[in-house]
Amino acid sequence: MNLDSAIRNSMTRLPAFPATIHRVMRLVNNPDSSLTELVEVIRLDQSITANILRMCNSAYFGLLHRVDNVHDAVMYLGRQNIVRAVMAAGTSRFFKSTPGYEAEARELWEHAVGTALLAQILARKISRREDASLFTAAILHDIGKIVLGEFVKDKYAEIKKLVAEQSRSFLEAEEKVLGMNHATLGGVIAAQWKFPEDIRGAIAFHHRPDRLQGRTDLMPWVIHLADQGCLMLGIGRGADGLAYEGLDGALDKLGLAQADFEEALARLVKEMDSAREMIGIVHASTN
Amino acid sequence: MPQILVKLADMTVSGNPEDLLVVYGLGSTAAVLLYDKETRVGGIAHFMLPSSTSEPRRALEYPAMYADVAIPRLVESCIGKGACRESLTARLAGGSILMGQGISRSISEGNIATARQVLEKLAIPLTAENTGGNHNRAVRMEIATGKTVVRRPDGGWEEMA
Repeated sequence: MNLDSAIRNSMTRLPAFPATIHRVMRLVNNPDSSLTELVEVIRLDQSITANILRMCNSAYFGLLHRVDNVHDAVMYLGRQNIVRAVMAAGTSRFFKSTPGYEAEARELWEHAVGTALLAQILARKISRREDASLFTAAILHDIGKIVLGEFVKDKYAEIKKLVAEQSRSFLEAEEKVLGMNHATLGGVIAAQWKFPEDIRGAIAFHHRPDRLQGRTDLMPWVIHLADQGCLMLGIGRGADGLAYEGLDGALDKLGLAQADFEEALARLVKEMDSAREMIGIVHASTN
Repeated sequence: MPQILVKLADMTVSGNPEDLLVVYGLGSTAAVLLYDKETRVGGIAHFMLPSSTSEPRRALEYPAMYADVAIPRLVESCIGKGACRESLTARLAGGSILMGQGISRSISEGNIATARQVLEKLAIPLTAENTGGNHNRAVRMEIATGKTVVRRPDGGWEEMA
């Protein structure tokens, strides 16, 4: 089997994306939906329900009373926090560790959560509102690495040589050696999971939002910047390090100053401190 | 040997010869490592931004977040643990840069430049540096000896002499 077929074959073995999350997303994005409908949908998924209750009672959400049912969790947390909780509970299963990959899987998960939190911090600065689609795309932006990881590991020396000797970015080196990069593959996985076009594009172009045609919204740029912020802070350390190209126009595109970005990074450290318990709970419960 | 992890925007000082201080995940962030070989007291500050000027309130909550506050605070903490100010020496690691990007460059280079300036102002000799590039680093310091190693891009460790 050639490498391209092997990668595609590995991709088709990924578990299906939880239908509950798609339903929750549709309800959250529909202003006419009720919280009762949201509760009914979440209750149908036992694994997500269990995780949500654990997370609700973690320090991250800082609730004063212990929550023991989905109805109360939804009432206490509100729509935006429910999206965070459902996404984190539903997607962490894809960041399970496999033999030889334990550290990497945990690091990738921490990077996914960090990027999603920073994307929301940046979004609040830009438009003063949070967005369920942004959080979803941000938490899944590196999902391609889950599949590509085993192939990168086999060809690591070759990839690293291109990065070190030809000053190529890790993304270009993946493409040259494996015929595909993790961002493009992430977009293909998102399509397989039936995500809408805005989320697929933001995942596929998170390293090069300037190359995404026909988009006027800022989601791909916010994710690009949030990803870079987490790489800079060492949140989720990978063998790829900081060997990626950062786009100089990203701040201008989002109407942010350097000081805004630095303030967002500082804010992220605090959010990560309180999210760490949540990250641990979800990751542990899916392994 | 018990490992003590120094988190991002945090600092740790020790005079216990059993301790090994460790920092993982140095990206654009940087670590200053101080050691006094006379009293065998050492400490590490892991900061992420050069200057606290625009964020004085946050610097009160996270003094180790900013190079300009973290390093003087680390010196005070080492002295508080018994170190002699005149025999402290410093090492500096971190400051990786994303390829071709101004935002990352100004933060990374700012972290390193501010660290050098603050150490010079405090008259603490900087004996070794391992900075720049586009890879993640980790550093470890043994309190018993002051021996400090940094992880190379290939995963091996080398001494910062």
